[in-house]
Amino acid sequence: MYLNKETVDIQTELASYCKTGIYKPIEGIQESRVNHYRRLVIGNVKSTLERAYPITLEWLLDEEWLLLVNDFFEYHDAQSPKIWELPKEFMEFVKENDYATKLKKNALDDLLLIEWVEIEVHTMTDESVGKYVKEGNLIEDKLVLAPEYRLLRLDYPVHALNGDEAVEKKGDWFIYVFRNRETDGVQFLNISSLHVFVLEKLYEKAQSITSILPVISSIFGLNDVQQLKTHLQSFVSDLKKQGALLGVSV
Amino acid sequence: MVGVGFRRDIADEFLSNKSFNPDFIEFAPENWMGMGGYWKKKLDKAAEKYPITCHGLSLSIGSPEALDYDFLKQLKQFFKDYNVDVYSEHLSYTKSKNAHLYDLLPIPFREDAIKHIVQRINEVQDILERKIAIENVSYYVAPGAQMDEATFVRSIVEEADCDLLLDVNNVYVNGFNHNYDAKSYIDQMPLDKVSYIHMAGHEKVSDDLIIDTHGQPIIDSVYDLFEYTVNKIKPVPVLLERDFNFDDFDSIVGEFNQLKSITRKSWEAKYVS
Repeated sequence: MYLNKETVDIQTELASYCKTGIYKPIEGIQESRVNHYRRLVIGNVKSTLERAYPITLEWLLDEEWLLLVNDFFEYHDAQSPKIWELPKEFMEFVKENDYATKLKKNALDDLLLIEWVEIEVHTMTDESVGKYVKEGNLIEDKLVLAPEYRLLRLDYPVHALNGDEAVEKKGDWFIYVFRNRETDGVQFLNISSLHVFVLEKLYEKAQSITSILPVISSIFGLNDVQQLKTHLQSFVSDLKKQGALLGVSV
Repeated sequence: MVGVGFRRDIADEFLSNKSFNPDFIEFAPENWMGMGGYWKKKLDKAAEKYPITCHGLSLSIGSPEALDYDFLKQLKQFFKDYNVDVYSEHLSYTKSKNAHLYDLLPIPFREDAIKHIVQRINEVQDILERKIAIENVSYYVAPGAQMDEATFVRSIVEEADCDLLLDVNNVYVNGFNHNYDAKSYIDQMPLDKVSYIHMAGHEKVSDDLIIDTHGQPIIDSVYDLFEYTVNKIKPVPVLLERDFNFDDFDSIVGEFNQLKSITRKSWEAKYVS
């Protein structure tokens, strides 16, 4: 490398100031001007995170939010060259450092997760799907689902309730998040563990409800196969209505 | 050719405003790469309608640390996918000690920095298999400077055999902030290497400091400097940058038309028979 140590040190000190806001004199720099760099850098990061997490921003106190943003930028080394991916790193930082406990906001990790997953599913690269037709037999035919999706398990129902209210309803909450191919919007469906299993099977490969009935029946101990079939018919009909089920494979 | 920065907030103006017809669009590849769904559809529609140029944000050509080769690979594929001929980047650094900062920090104007950057530009040009254009950035402090900005920029562009993206507003801003004559700075640039021009607005935040915001209309003094510049160079693409304050879109169209008018007056007489 051609850079000498002195030049590297100057660059590192300026960057460090922008990251931490702690100023140490740097050769050739007027303090009255350098603060604009810190302002611009942290302002850019803060506005990116605020656009990504509007519900968390509203839920937390201003000082709590600022603590998270400042700690994140000071102690975390942002890895993505794409700033729109920074909120994912923020979510991971908050979880790894257990700010939920520090701030006594138990639902914090779940709320950040669900807000990030909305962005992730909205922007994820388009996946290809096999040939399908919209109409068919929802029980006997192989089903084709919206390929851009995530299945989440949350402790708190932050998709439905305010963070403080959600804490009162701790449990196993399963959410199916998918991108509607017609609207390009992201939708959330509250589902059961059985539904998660069904969706996982259907996403493994295009197959029919009939073909997975025996394994579902066995794993979940549901011996009344006819009742199970009726339940799943209703589930997949709803998926179709919501735009998650694209159709049946041809 | 006069283009306008393609931003999400005004994407629909590019796609459906019939009274607005830029010759090309420019955007930061980092803001669109690896994205599907709604925004990819918008980008694809824009790409069908307009030629595209790309202006990067995160290459960090002036960083002490190694280039991000995976990122360069993604860029190369993206340029191929979207038929991008022109790629430019900032003469600055945005990454330090393995952390992105997402803003353009000033590189010390020093001989060792010149050598370092020349080597990196050459490496980038080899990897991307294309010449890139490097932009003179606005700066508010000059850390550890051992030479003037013009010498620094000129040396890099000449030694790296890259193109120069001349940001005329940045020349004006830097001239004001660092008390030098903007026209004489233009005269010191390797004008035969200018392949692209940026124009934008700025904000005066104190008696002795202007911040390059891309959020305000271009002021008359910057138009004057632009006219001075275009009279000295061959025709190149000119880009109107606006990153926010889009409410009065008609005024942005007005700025675009004014740039068109100046380039027509200066270049058509000379270069179009």
